[in-house]
Amino acid sequence: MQWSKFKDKDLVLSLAHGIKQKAKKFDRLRIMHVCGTHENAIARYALRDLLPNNIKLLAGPGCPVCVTSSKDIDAIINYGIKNDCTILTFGDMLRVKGSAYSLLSASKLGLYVKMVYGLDEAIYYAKQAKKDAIFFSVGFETTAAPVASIIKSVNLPENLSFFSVHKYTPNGVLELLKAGKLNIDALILPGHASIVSGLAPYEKVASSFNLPCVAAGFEPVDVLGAILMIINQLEDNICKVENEYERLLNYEGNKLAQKALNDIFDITDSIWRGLGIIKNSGFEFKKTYNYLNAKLKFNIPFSDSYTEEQKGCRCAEVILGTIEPPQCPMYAKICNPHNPVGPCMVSDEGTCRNWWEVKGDI
Amino acid sequence: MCIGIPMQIVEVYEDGISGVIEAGGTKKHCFFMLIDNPKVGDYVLVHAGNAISKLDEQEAKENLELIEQCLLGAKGAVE
Repeated sequence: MQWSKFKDKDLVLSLAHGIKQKAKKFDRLRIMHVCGTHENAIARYALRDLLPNNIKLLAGPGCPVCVTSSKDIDAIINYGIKNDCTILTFGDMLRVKGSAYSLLSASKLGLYVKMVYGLDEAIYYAKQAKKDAIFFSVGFETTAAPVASIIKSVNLPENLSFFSVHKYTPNGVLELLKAGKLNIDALILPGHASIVSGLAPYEKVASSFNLPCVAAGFEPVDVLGAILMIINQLEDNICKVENEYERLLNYEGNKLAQKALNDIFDITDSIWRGLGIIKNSGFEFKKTYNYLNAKLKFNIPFSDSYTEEQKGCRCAEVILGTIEPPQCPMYAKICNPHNPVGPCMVSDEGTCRNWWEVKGDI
Repeated sequence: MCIGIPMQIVEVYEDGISGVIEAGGTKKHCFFMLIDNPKVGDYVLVHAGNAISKLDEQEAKENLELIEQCLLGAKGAVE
């Protein structure tokens, strides 16, 4: 089995040595990834420790839990309580605070919420429930496409509807770059989200902003290999989209997944926590599927006053790569996985959570 | 929720769009709508209960060759 070689120690050390030698030509390189699972791999394998000081590996807005707005969390809590229905969602969404409550802590206000691993379980629980159920549908295109394909192919119970806060990574990144919010020299593209979207949507990112873009897998060899590919591009004065993750990812992406997305969703503006409204960065149900759209079906009350950040929390800056977690005064003091203040400390994909898991309160 | 896990198909139900996958002794229900022609024995990347891509041994080999080529470039530059 070749797959274990993607963790091979000798290959990892050779790559680290190659990066170190080649990086000498550069004063400073800021390389951002936009996937929470990349941060997980980077922290778990201590990959930053293998890089020279002039290469900064930054975590971008790649955790869907972290970028889900308080406005949406408040709305789903309000609806669940006012209409006495069951809220179904993924486990890592449960502890993220809205303005005042998380889905889990809102249970003391009377909210009934149940954790599911996937939409198949949500369908199962909705069938058991005697009241309405709403699937709080979170995630980038990697999650949106499976949801779309299931809606197309499976008989859904009549009492199940969806509250979509799905987000589309390529447009999110593009708009943040247009707004000048990312100060970076290159991008590591998300391996699994790109399986769905393909790499073509990133061509504009590479060409318009002169950024080398390399899609990477999640083993140490993948991440270091992608960094070396980026350095090779910079050395040759090239800015293009490349694929390090060939064993799973095609340039064209997953056509079945793209069709499912296009059939069910329209691309719309979407609110990202700490970053505001980002143009063309969300998935909302097409009019044909209004009957599944909980926001329309039940006229969920959205409040115009909501709090994205608890006092002192600097998650928005962590998401943009402008600070590292220990620079937040709350990190590991008040905010930890047992008592997360900001969203980046909650999910396995959150940057603060990943740093804490490896470094604790050091 | 975005963490993808490589798992092996151990059963495809008659409907052709769902079945059972396994990794490390753990079995789970899985949908196959996003991959072509799912077969018992195939390795797939599973994301929130859905197979989103097939994992291929030959492509893994080529993937490693790509990395090694980049590395050779780096060694060449060093020398």
